Amino acid sequence: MSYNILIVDDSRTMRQVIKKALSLSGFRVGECLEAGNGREALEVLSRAWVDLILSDIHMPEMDGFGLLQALREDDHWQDLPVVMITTEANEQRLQQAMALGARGYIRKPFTPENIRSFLAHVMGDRVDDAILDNDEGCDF
Amino acid sequence: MTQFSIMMRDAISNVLETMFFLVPAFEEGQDLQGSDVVPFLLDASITITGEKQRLRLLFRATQAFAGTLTANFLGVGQEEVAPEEMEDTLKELANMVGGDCLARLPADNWQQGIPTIEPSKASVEEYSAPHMCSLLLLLDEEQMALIHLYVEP
Repeated sequence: MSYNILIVDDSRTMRQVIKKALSLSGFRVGECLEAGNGREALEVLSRAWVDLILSDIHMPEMDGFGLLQALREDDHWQDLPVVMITTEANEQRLQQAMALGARGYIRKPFTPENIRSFLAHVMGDRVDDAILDNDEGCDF
Repeated sequence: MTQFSIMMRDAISNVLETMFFLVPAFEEGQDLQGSDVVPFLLDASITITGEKQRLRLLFRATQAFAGTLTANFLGVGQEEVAPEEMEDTLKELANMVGGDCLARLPADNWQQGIPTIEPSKASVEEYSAPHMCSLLLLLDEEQMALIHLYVEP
């Protein structure tokens, strides 16, 4: 099984880097979708199938907390796994994200190996099952 | 080296090695100004605000540093790097180093600000705030960037 992943970050460069890291990690990725903030992420969700969201916290318009809140209030999306990818080191803020329903967080800087093992854990896969064995995956 | 210099050096090394595949060397000095050392292209900065103090990290990057950093970050050749990608990358560097420093600071309910980027000012003296420490960053013995830590009023 491969996963459609929505990357939410206001930096286009950071979205590219996360896509690259996902590709290098070997995690089984179907389609990679992108959004520049929480509001754009909700628009993407209204028109595309998404299995997992990787979201920054600090973003303009609607930040990561706003996105988590909006997903939690929507019956359709409240079980969608969300993992924060962030530089946030304030423990209270990270716990706030968890309380709003985030499945966990990956701190920047990260390695492709960090991403692979953490996402496989979140998606309930054995790590080996979630690793690509060829060149499939994010197209970028 | 002061505790703050060590914190900055360790945070910068961790971020550069993990995300940019670069191993930096550092020189430290209270009087490092940089304007007569190397010309800078971009200044990226980020604030870290606690209950007792507000700190500002300022990265003054040469074109060579911005280009190398961005090419490594994106996994592309330096000739493929666009100016806006360099700006984005330096902001991300400031963001990640700020977060790493925050995790190393003594507890003070620190909050990280949003990183900013602008063309380098002619002199660091234009940033009028008490100055805590400075590091000169070198790659392969070449002067690449100057990092200042300020305590703001």
